[in-house]
Amino acid sequence: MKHESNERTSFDKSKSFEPKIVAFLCNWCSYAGADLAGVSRFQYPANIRIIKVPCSGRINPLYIVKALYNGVDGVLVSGCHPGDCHYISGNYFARRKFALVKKFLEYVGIESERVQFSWVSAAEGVRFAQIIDKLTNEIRKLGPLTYFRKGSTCKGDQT
Amino acid sequence: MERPMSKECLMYKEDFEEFLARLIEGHSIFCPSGEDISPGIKKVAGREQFALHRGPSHFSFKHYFLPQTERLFSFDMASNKIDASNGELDDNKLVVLIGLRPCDAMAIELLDQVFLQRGPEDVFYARRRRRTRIISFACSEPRTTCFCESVGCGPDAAASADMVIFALKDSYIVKTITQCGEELLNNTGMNLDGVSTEKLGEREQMINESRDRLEKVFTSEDLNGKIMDFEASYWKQICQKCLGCGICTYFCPTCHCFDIVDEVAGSKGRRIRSWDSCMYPLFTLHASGHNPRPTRKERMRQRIMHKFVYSMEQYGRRFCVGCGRCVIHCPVNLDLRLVIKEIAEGK
Amino acid sequence: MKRVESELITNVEELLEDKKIGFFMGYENGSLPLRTSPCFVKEKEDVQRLVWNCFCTNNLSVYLVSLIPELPAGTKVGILCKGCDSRSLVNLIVEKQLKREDVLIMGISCSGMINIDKLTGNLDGGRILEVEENEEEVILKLDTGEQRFSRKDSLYESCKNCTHPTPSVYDILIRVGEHAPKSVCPDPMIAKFRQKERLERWQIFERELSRCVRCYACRNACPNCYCKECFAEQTKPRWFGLSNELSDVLFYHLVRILHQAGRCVDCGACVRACPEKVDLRLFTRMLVDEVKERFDYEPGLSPNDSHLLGVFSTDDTQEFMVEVD
Repeated sequence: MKHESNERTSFDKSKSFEPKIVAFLCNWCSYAGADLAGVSRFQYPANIRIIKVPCSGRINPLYIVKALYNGVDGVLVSGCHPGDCHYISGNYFARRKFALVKKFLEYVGIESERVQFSWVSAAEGVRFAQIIDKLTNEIRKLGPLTYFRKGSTCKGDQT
Repeated sequence: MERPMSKECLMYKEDFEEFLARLIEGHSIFCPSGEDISPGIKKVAGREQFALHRGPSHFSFKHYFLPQTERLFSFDMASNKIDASNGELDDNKLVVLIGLRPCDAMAIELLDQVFLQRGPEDVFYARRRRRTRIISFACSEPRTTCFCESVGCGPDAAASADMVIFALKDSYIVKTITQCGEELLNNTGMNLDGVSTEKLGEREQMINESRDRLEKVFTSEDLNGKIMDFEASYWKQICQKCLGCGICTYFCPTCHCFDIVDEVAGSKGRRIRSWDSCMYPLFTLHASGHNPRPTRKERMRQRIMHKFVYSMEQYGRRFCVGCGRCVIHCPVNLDLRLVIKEIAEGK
Repeated sequence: MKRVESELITNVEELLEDKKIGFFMGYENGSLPLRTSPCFVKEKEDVQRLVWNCFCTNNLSVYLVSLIPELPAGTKVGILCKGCDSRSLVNLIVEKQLKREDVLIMGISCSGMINIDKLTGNLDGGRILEVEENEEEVILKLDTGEQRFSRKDSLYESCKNCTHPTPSVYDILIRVGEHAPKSVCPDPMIAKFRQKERLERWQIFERELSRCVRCYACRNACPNCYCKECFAEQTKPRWFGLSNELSDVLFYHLVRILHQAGRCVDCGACVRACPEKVDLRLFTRMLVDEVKERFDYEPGLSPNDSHLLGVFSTDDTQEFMVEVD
């Protein structure tokens, strides 16, 4: 039986799922890019929670794993384009780390869409909105990350 | 504990099978699972899941009484509610632990001292312990790492067991130790004969052979008197190889230290307790940042002296049962038996 | 083996006598059959305790970082190093935890270590009285008879695919046969795992680590894990829970393994230390392969290297980054 008047119940569960995404943005480029997207009134999904960091090179892989463990469905780390780092080379160091983190998490079986890295400059408001749009859509399709979240998996000593 | 009842009877292979089948039917049975993908002390659903290990099982029965992680209660600060219900513990159905070796049975006796008999009773431990009956198996095949005799246990020690089973060549002698053990046997409704002197002889021989096979790297005399000195210089030597991992404590059937933490997310949370190990740097770290046991020397001294000295002062017992698990698993083969011997010889 | 042992003992005796070293780390017979234990020698009369056989599994480099500051200043430490141990040691030099001049490396070209579980699994309770080994076989003399094991089949997995059996850096080298470096990259085990479906990979990851009891032996046996305060023990903030729930266990391992990226030399010490026999190499080795493939770098080969993640190239690939049209 269909209740067309009640839109909420006719929603497919996967469609109503809105992912939580943490975005670690560097202070100098990506955060300013997000700011530009905002003041320019570009539309992008409201699924991200921004955490401002001094530099993408400041990101310890631990923070990414911690975010997933704490219950987010995806993580984005974004910094200045290569060559543009405020600290000259922070993003180059970050790039090496990110390559290994991304490949490793994918290897153990975490969907590669959930952990993403990008370069967004202070002038790229449109690009920032596009990236968030793309990410959110991809993660929405995957559904919530349930298998790694704290408390989601219990190892009992007894059955 | 008082042991008013002691009765012995004989079971042949088929009687034993019947006995097991009836036990499994009427009780929750826990035994060590085989060396499969996730060893532990598991609930048995059928006869095929029960197998007796040579020597002590991989994990001790501490896993049953003190789960590695246990939720004490959960809370919601928004609604001011506390939930201390526990499905597993609220069930008072009799549980039978089977397949322990005498060393593990003695370990439970020692844990009883800590959690039941001296000082305040631990609710979680007490509820599990009171609904539990213990059937141990005398040890016919000690491993090269076993040293139970040296610490006052032995291949036929009954300790906390309600019933001890001696597995002979083609039969079993069942010895009930306590009233509860007697009831357990009676409840199976088995009609059993007494034990002939011939069988008693076979048992004696088995136990004697077992005793002969036990390693005697140190003897119980080495533990007499003031055996260890807190200020001694040997601790620095002894700890040199130690990697500082928690294997010896986590596999020890009598190590029982734990840590209690609140895990909070938003207004909701739970309080859990988890095993802790004196080998870890966090073990005695004060809130001030000061750590009275800053290096492996102090940590190792704590572990050994707690087992052999402090526990004597506190409970009149040594908290080592000679199961040898720490010897088997130590990644650098730092053998507790040799440590004791070195200390004893050096005194 | 007897030749190697006597060469080792003579060398150490001379070094101690000439005061070239004040301390030597090697192996002695353990308290159990088929086991050895680290042996720290200071006096000449203790030198005779040193042994060398196919059970010298511990990576002794793990002791260096904490040990050297405790010794009187200027004491040189001699250390017996297999190929993998030397790479761990070199990596410690690269990471500035150790000075090259503080150690005298007695290298030994290694034929691989024997996984005793592969031997003891088939003994039927027989007691081991004596052990012999030759280039092909390990022979156990039991009270119930004799059993022979092929050396090749009984090696640890990390030894089967060893790329540098001969130490990369040494002051003295004891030769046991010829062991040229070879490249086994990627490890077939890793290539096979990569081909599985994502869900299956995660399930295997979970299944392996569900056995973990959080004893931290993997961390403490690892020479690379020298942090004064491990993230697992930080309390301000506490990064993850204390429990043995799977999410907590996985958190610890994910972060520890990621921390090994570009530093792990695939010595297998973590696997050997694990009481639950968790196959950690299935995950650590992936990063070794990835580092080799992506950056053409193998840690621990030269003390003059730079730490992989402490340098960069403007040409590093970035195909993994998000792009939009």
